[in-house]
Amino acid sequence: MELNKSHASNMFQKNVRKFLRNKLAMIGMVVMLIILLMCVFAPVFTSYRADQPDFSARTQPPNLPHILGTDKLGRDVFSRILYGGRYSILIGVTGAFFGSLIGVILGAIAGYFGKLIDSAIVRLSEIFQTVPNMILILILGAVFGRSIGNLLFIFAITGWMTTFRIVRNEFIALKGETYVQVCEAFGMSKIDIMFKQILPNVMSPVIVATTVNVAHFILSEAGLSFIGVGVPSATPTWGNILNAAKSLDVISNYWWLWVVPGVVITVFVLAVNFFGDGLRDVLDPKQQ
Amino acid sequence: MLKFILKKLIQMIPMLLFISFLVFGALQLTGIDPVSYIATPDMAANQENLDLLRERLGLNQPFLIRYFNWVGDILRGNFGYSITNGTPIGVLIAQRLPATIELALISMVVSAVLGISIGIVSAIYQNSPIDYLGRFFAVLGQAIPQFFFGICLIQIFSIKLGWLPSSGRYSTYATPLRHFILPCLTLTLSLTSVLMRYSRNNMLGVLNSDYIKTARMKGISETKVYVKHAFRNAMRPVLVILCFRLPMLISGSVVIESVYNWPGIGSVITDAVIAGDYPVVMVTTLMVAASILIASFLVDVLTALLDPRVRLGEE
Amino acid sequence: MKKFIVLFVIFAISMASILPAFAADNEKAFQLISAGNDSLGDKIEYPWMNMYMLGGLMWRTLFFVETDMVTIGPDLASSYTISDDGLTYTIDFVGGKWSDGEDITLDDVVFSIKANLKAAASNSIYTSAFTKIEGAEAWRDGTAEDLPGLIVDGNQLTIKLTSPHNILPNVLCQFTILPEHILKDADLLEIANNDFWSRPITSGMYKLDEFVAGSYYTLVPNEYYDGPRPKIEKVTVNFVADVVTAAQAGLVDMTNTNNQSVIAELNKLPGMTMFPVDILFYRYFLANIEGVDGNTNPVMADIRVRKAILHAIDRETLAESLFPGLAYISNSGVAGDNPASIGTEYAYDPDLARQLLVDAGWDFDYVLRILLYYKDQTSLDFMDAIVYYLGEIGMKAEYTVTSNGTQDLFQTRNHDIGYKGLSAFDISEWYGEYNSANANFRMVFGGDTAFDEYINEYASATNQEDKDAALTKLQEVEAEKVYKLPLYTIGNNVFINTDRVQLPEGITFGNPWYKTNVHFEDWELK
Repeated sequence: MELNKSHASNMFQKNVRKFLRNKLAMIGMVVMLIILLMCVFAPVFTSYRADQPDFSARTQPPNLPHILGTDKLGRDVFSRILYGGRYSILIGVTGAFFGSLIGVILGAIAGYFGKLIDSAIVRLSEIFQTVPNMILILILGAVFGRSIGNLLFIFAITGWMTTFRIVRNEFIALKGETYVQVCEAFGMSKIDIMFKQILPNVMSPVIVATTVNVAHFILSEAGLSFIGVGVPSATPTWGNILNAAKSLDVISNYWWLWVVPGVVITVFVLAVNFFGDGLRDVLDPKQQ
Repeated sequence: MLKFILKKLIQMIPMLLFISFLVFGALQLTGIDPVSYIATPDMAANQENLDLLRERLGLNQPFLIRYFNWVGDILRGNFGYSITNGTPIGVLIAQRLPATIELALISMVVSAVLGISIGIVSAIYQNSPIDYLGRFFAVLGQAIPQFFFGICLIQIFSIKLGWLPSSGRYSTYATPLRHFILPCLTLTLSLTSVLMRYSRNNMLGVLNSDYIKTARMKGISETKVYVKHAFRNAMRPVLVILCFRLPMLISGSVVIESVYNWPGIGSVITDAVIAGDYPVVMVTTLMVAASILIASFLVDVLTALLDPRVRLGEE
Repeated sequence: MKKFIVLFVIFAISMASILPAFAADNEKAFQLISAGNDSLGDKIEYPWMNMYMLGGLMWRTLFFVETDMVTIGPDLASSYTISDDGLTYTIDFVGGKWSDGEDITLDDVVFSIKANLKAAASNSIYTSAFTKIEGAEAWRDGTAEDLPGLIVDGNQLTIKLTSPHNILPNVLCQFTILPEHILKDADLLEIANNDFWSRPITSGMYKLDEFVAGSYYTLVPNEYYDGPRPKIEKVTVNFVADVVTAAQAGLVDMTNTNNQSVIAELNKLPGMTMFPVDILFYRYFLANIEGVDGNTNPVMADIRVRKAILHAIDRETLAESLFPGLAYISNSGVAGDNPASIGTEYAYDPDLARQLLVDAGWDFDYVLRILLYYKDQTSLDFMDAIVYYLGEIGMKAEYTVTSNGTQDLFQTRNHDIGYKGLSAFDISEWYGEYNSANANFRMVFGGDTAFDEYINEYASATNQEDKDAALTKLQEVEAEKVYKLPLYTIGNNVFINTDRVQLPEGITFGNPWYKTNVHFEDWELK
């Protein structure tokens, strides 16, 4: 056991070094963390409230009190971006987390039990892949109404298939390994075997897939809000801030209202992707 | 082989039935009433007659009866009518689908050519500035929200420069080609970056494989190695991706159609879901689902033809 | 490898063949746009739902109203007389020709009125007028074969009403007569969806020429039209997503809007001239109090809560910021400068608002649910501001946008107040919403009969004095009940590209949502 631990920590140190050497991944991580922290500690960085109109200061270009200008109601764009980031990032992270959670559970069950259960769940995943995602989201949005919670639910039940595939395939491969058979012989409960013994071995690709999904869901939220079926428009997510600026009058006259949120989304997603790629190089080299 | 194809085809039927039932059921849960959608609150219409219309359309009948009526109609080749517009759904699809297919297919060809060539060049000159540029472009293409990219293009080419129209497909003021350029560019960007990543990675994998090394050792010229051996082997998975992408593009062009007011099927679907126009939603969903199933079926057949092991494994 | 190349070439060629390449059509035409987002662009506007200022281009009505919306002149009919009890109208019919050469007869008129009663989609101004014709109910539900209240005698049409409806002649200035010989077998209930609207036979000065579904259609003069031939030889109507881009592309010779951002952009374009028009367009909150079905919403039951909302909102500042020069504060259905106004007012007073809430025992943890069906950005900005103002008096609020306005406002009713618009033809429409028989509004106002008497008084008034007396009563009841929270009325601006269009001297414009006499036949392209 001792030996095993030091080996593991060696691996860890090696991985960290490998990650630190990957410049893009480091840049990605730093940018991601900066944006994240600024959003979380928004009140430290801005004194304006995101929802407070100031009718005497409408559509001001970036200037000293309002470093990114103000919108049509005179609200400070910088503070809206920061407070909006809280929602957007939260949606991306939780959506991806729950999607992966479903994927892991179903993948483990399908891969471990095999046979009928496996083919039933695989069929289910095929169905979810066949119904066009957009239509599914539109319909679910109409069924449950527009709210952040519902959007998360929709993301979770439409975003589990990648993780499911990874976990299931790994489980099928690992099921035959000696140590699993040994555990079974010792009479360990199936749940323990699945989640305590096999699962840790497949966590790396799952973590990578989840990271990629965070970026994907942030983009999805923006896209859905853009066609008016995402988060209720009163909530200042990045997608909604951008959506509020899609009229041509805004596009041609008030660049800061649409360029700023667009660039922020792009930069954040870019950073998450770089970070995810770096993670993949370290954790899951063969998936490249 | 025939047996394999038949089996795959038969598997599709219960799948489509199940999907149609799922979508139908979900639409019932939304509780949207297409008839009251017709009447905007600004100008309330003839209530009694709206009730009659609801009855005529069978909207008062129980859910299951309506589902089976609908399936029966479809089997008889009757796609039904749009509730909110009255256009036969067949006509509606004939009007709108070509616009989406045109956009999807041409974008696909453009991005296939661009993505594959950039990907291959990146792989051949791995870790050169060209590679970094290509990779950066690929990551950027996947990180930038499609509609944001679309708005940027509109701002530059339509508003600032005034070269290209910002919306529509046909008009009396610009040629169809000029209408086509911006939506096509937007849809191309994201697909190109996906394909570029795939072909670069595949090409790298092939270039590092043993048999290319052997070929090189045998003294075959570099160009020949790239073109004859590496390219062909790297392309197979890329073609599969392409096959899978086309149906996705059809439903995925929803956002782009909304940015450019492109009169395609995507906007029909969005509007129909919002209005609860269930005959339209059902038929369009099934159409996209069927095309996805057919695409994956083609991929299966192709792989089976190319690689007999898959076929044996299935049987 | 070769196979791949061949495949690619074939693919590329087939792609290229999909791109149809017809050249742009540069013929001189008067350019209009249709910016309806939810239409498929394969039908022209259905005139029984929305009529437009230029509705006369394609359609004739019995009478023609001048831009003041009061002075009535002849169109298909030359004159009318009303009996003293206001129940019998006698109309002298003249007639004309359809664009296919057939005669427009009184049979077409009778057919159109009868068809309208059976149509699901119809503007309420027609429905509320025609259901007052004798025998209308029986005809509509199919128990009668005919409509006895319409009597044709040679060139005279007699309309018999069951109760007075003094705006009937104005309604007839808007009501499009449709060709019986084309539509006699049509499904009347779904007439709005008939494919007649894809290839219409028209009665106005123009007829349909070419229709490219989803893109545009063109109109050319109707040679069978017996009025003066229009000087403009061709009219193009493009289906566009956005007015501003279309205008920038030179596609818009005429449009109208109340959207501030569109107004700002259009004013920047050279040649675009703005003509402000004063119209009756109300925006207000509708309290969801109780339905006749017994479904009550106790949250809004206390009148003090409803008044608090009105006092909490600084409507003046909002109107000036979001709708500069367009919106006017309204405190009832009657504008403040109307001589009949009784001067009801709800001033911005957050302290009073807070006090009213406290008095009403308001639960400050409750989140007020606001419903709206407008999706334009100005409306959403407006809602953001409303939520902020309510927050300032301690009232939590959130808003939801629905695509299914009528159903959600009057049936689903998962809201406390609804943001609604009313494009009214006459003040009576605003008060008609309080009518206890109104199928929609009795679902939120509980079928209160307090207004009914005065609504009828107004409808049967034949002179201004009687009308004003009824309006005074209506305003009093309104201020006492506060079922609707009036916010503002919003004007409209007509834009015409005067670089391209030569307008006749002294032209005036009326409410752009109604067909008025703008002498289009005298308009010229420069």
